[in-house]
Amino acid sequence: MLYQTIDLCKEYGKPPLAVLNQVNLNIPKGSLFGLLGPNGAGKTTLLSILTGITPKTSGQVLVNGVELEACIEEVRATTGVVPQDLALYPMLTAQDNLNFFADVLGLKGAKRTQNIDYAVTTTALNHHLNKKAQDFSGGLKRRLNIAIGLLNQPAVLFLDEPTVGIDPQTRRFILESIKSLNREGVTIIYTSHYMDEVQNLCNRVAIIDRGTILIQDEINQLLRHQGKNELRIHFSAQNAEKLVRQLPAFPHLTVADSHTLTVETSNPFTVIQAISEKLSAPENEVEYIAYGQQSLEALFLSLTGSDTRDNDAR
Amino acid sequence: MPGKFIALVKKEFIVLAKDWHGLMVLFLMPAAFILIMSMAMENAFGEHKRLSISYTLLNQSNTPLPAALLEKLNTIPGFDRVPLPNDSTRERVSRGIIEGDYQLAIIIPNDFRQRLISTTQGAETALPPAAELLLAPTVKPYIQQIFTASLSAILIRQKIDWMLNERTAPNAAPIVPQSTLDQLGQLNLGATYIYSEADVAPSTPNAVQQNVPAWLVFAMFFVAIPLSTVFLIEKQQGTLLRLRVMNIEAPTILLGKLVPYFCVNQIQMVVMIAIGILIVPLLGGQNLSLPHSMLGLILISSACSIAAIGFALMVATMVRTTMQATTIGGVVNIIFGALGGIMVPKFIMPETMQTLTYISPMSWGLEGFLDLFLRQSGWEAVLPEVLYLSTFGLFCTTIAAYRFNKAY
Ligand SMILES: Nc1ncnc2c1ncn2[C@@H]1O[C@H](COP(=O)(O)OP(=O)(O)OP(=O)(O)O)[C@@H](O)[C@H]1O
Ligand SMILES: [Mg+2]
Repeated sequence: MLYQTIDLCKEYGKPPLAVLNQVNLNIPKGSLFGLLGPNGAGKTTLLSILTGITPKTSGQVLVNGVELEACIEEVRATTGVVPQDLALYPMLTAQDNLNFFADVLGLKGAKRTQNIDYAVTTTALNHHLNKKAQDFSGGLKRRLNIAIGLLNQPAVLFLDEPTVGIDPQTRRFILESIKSLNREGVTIIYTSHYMDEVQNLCNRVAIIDRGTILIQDEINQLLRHQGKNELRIHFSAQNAEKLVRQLPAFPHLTVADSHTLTVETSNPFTVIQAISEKLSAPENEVEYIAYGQQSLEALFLSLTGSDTRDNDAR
Repeated sequence: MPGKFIALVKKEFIVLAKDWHGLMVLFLMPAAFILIMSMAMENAFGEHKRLSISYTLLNQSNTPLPAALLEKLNTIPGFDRVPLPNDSTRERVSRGIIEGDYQLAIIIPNDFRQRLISTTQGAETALPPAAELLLAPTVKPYIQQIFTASLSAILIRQKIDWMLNERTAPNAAPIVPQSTLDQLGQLNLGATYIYSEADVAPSTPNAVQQNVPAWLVFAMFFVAIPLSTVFLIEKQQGTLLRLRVMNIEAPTILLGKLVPYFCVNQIQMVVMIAIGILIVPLLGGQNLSLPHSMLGLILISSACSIAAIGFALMVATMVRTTMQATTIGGVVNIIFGALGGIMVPKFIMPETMQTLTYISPMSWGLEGFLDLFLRQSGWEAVLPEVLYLSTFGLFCTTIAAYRFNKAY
């Protein structure tokens, strides 16, 4: 296990308020690990502890089986961090930003050139290097933010909500870059609250809420396990309410949400046979039918509830 | 480690070089104030400067004036003679006064000798004026009196010379020899300025001596604005965290701020002094002369810089937004300035107010520079100010370091 936390707790302020509660996390080497959670769940705090920015209150953080405190220097040398905020100098050009952070990392000579090239190529910033960061679009700023995190060619890359506030094209580009980094062997630890993003990208997921890890597993295991006897019919339009009335009355047929019908059954083929004629009309806009797997979003909502977190009086 | 430190220093310079507002505050503002205030305050300080009034002399007599007389006229202390073109007339001289070429003019009439030696028997007829004085209306009465007194003494010596030595034959030795006549005109009135015990040297500066150090000190403290703005951007945007992840220690970051702004402060000093020496006189102001003690100058400007940067770091670590940084940094500096005798020179203030100035670190900085520029003291004279400023600077830096460590 690359990263392992044991009963990790973090409290802030006086009187102490628990932000992380007995967190036991396992992040295997080479994984693309997604940390999911609503606003204020403690994702950034957890990442800050794993990267040695914030001290923990109690518990253990092990890196390759060694206490983080004991090997923090080596860990930092091989770790890249992309913070949730745009941690760069807006008044400097992209090139000056990269040069500065490369110097701070102590990179010299050929290694310096090579690493800057690597960061620039991975984030496709080649044509924007001489522009001031403050004149960048939101997407370019995000890419520069990531590029700086890549400057030490890290073996482990932490990304805190790297796709916030950008258009679908840039998002796709960033996600593809993350995927290809992972294919090259970089372990990625990644937070988000975009479910579809995590579902498509990550091979391992943990869901955290109010400082507690609710569930963690391989993504396939997770979705299969949680939706064992469920047949899901997903419409691209909000057709669930309308169609449920036209279908034969199955036991356990329910409207999951306006896009989704679910049927609990141990024999999905019978159900599909019975409904296929009704649903095959193109105007019904069926997007997919799945059995034994639920969407990450449904899992997430079922685990975390649907109330808004930032209204919590805590 | 030195490589990383150099990177931090270099970054700070690049950021500042791209920050036009910051540069304007640090260089253009004091330069403008020095130029404007040195000109504007010229008169306010005029009472205290050496008397220097220009006058001219128009000789309308057909004989040249005796050399001895001319020589005496040329050396009336405090008055500078402006030469006239050869074909000058009375009208032309009047115009010269109106146009401000000189404030006084002596007109020597064509029968000068006659008039000078003529005497009257009775009191009923007045003596014809031996010479005429033209004055600009701006000439103050006491200036006129000083000038008339000097002029009279010179003319009386000439009168005695002409009256007594007139009857002798051309080749005969004069009855009264020149040396005796010269002694007649010699009258020494000793004049000594009495200063309060502490001040042995002049205690009030002229316009440039006041304004160059004053606005220099003021501008040095304004590093608070660019320094804290950049610092807050770094803090808010998480660049500081990033630096931390990259294994940069807190003291390195603080030192990485201190060193570049120390250099900026020293550049400010060189530029502002150069303006005082080179540019102010070009625009007609008095000029500034370099202090005797260069060591003193280095000491006081270093101490002032430490105080200014310490204060800036404290502001930077205590505020939450860049808005607060600019407002609080700016307002506190302006209060420091008003209180410290930057805007209103200290010697104009009432005594209670003068005591209050010592609250402001700018007042200490200014006093230190005045020791050197005005009183031309040695480096020992600035030690109290250096001590105060360094203590203030280190105190602020300690608070900044404490707060920074907590947040970093
Ligand atoms: N320095 C701090 N002092 C006190 N409380 C803090 C501090 N940092 C975070 N918190 C609190 O800890 C909780 C978790 O914050 P954290 O930033 O880790 O959440 P998050 O999951 O990253 O949220 P988001 O999705 O909005 O980024 C929040 O309630 C937050 O208010
Ligand atoms: Mg966060």
